Amino acid sequence: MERLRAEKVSYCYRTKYQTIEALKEVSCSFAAARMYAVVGESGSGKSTLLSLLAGLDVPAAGEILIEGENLRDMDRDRYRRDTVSVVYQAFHLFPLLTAMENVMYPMQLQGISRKEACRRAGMLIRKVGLPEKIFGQFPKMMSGGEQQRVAIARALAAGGKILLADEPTGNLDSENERHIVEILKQCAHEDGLTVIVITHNPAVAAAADGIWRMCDGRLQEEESGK
Amino acid sequence: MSILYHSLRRLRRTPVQTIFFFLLLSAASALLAAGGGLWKLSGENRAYFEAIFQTIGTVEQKPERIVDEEIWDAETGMYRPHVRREYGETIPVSVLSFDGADYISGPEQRAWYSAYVPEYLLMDENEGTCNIMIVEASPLEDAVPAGPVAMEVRRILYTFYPENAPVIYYCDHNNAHPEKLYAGHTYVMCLVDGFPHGWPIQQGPFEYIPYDGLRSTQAGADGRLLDNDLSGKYVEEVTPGFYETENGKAWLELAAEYRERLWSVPVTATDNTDLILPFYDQEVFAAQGRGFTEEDYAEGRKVCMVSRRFANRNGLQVGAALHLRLRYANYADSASGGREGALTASGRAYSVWEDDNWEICGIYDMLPGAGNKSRDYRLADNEVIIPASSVRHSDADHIAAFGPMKGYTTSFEIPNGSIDRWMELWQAQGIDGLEITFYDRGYSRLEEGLKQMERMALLLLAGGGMSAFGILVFFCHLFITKQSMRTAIERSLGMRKGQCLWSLLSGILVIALCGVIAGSIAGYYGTTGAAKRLTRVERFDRRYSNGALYTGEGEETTTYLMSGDWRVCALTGSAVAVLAAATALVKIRRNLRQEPLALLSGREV
Repeated sequence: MERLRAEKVSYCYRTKYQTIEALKEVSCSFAAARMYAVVGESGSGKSTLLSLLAGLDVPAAGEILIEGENLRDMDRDRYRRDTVSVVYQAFHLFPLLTAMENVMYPMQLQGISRKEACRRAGMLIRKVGLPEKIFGQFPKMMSGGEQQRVAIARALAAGGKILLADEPTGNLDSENERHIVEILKQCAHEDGLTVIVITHNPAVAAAADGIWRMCDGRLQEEESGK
Repeated sequence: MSILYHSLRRLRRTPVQTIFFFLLLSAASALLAAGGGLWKLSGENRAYFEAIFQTIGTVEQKPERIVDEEIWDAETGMYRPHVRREYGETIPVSVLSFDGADYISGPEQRAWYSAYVPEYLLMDENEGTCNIMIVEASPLEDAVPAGPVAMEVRRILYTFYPENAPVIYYCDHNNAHPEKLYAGHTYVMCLVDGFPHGWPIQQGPFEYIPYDGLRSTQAGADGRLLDNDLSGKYVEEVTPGFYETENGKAWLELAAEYRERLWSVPVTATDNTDLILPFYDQEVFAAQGRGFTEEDYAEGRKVCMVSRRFANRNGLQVGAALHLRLRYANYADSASGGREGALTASGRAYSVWEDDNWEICGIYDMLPGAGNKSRDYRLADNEVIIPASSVRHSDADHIAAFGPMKGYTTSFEIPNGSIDRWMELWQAQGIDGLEITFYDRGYSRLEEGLKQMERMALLLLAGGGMSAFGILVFFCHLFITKQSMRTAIERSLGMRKGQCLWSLLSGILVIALCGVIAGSIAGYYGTTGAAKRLTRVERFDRRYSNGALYTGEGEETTTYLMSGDWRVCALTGSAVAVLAAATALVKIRRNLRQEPLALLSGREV
């Protein structure tokens, strides 16, 4: 079942001296309960595509459809809160909130009680392989890998149908990388989420059900390793 | 989710910044509240003092030269030194009406009028006075009156004491070369008793000396002395048909004038009783009834104030009518020291030119010691005070004396605190001949305190305002602008713009409000302290100020108003709170205008 589709999506950044066309009529489709990898050179437009799919902005041209509904017509705040979750390459945790509070945050935004949010956050932090001692720690007290996993736990906490991850294993050792990839696969295959992972890591790409390659702002589907 | 709770929790986790924000904003709010409080206090004090204080100036023409003279003293047989002031041209009061002179009252060169009141008692029964008399007398033998000369009184034209002895002793006391008097000749003379010589009649009767003669000081409407043909003599021989001559008739008129004067009271006409120094100094005050009102002056109401002694002696109460017949005006002297000639320029007694009833609106009394001033600055016995505008007819033909402005005849009132400005303008007129003396009951000293208070208030307001703005801009930059990534993450998690705004604003506002409240309270209490430091404590007695009735109760003293006003603190506090909210909103709006993607990537899209 198709969950997410991009149709001829274009997008550009303007700097002081030039305009960069980051996406050029990109079209792609992502089904439910599957994990996708988007690969490509740095600066090829992968993160921009992920941000547009996350509803962080609207394309300059083209459409993004979620289960057939145009994102332009949707309440994008609600879409970001209830439907899509993002794990950023730079983590983007709240520096003044503890790991537990960071994970609870999206749940509390959804109106879940503090107590229930706390319970679920604990579960999720443990699920991404972090010990309980991390609960009360602030991001600056954690390693990059720990922050990455807290960011994944926060993305999972939102409970949306789409999980977008930008280099989620970039800061992890191979064992943790495998663990995270397993979690992401589990989210897709067991929980029915559409998981889209941007990665340079061939191992992660290999674990995906489908691979899209980004090159100079254009996207083409590759044959999956599976 | 409690956005306020999260917002505050984040601030709590940057305690140093938050505490500094709180303390600095408290300090700025305290400065503003104290500044606002002081500003209001200075305004209130100014209004308060304006109601109590008055500034008047008196004007005195400086003599052109001082002439040393000598006066013969028959008793010692020597000349005694005497100083005479020569004033030259009289400077008119109109020179004081120059551009920019912002008078409240005046300037007025006050006249006092002699009012004939035969129906009233002017002295108590046991009171005495020097005896002026106009008599025809003959020396018992030829004699030069260089010392007391016995003279038989032939006829009394005027006297205060009717039981005068048939023989009096006459001495031309101040004349070194008196004319010889011949036995069997009759002389008419105006005498006054006193000056007993150290010769055989130490026990009395009194020696009589010349008092007045045929002279006139009548002036025209322009103040210039009118020409007259009067002899100026104080002793003249009465020959057959003497009283048919102009000179003789003038002697009879002189006697008539003195008879009227015996039953006359001085009436001072003014535009403001506070221009009269005994009233201004509050030594004279309304003991019953009231002083004059603005309406009395404006409408020229026929009201008057009389002395308590005069009222008591004649059984007069407030509301009673006082019948006054105004006969002549004196613009030169005080009512207690009139030296005007008794006759008009044509050698006649003055006639009544305004005859009416004045209603007694107030009965004045004097503080003990009020009579210690020099005679000219005191109120005269039985002096009646009336509004100048209540005199309907012109006194132009009845000016018995006109002279240079004196401190006790000429004064004006200006706004408090305007002495320096007035003097500056006056000096620009280039008129040297006048001496101006100001009286302000110490307002100048109080005003210095007020100015200091105002300067400090402005300083505090400016300092407080600028520091509050600086603090808010700096901390909003710290708490908001530098938190753009937080906004981006919140928005990426689905938080709405309004929620993001509240998330950033609420915590800052709560801390700001706490700071503002604490600062404003400190400012409220600081205002009184600052006011006390800035103003020297001045105390003054205002029992008798501005027509207040003397009740004989204890001394009431007052000083600067010192208490702060919580409403001012609330106002300055609200201003800081609004400024905080506005500054924060401007900063937050900048963050919220951008899409989360731009905030996260740090690039324009």
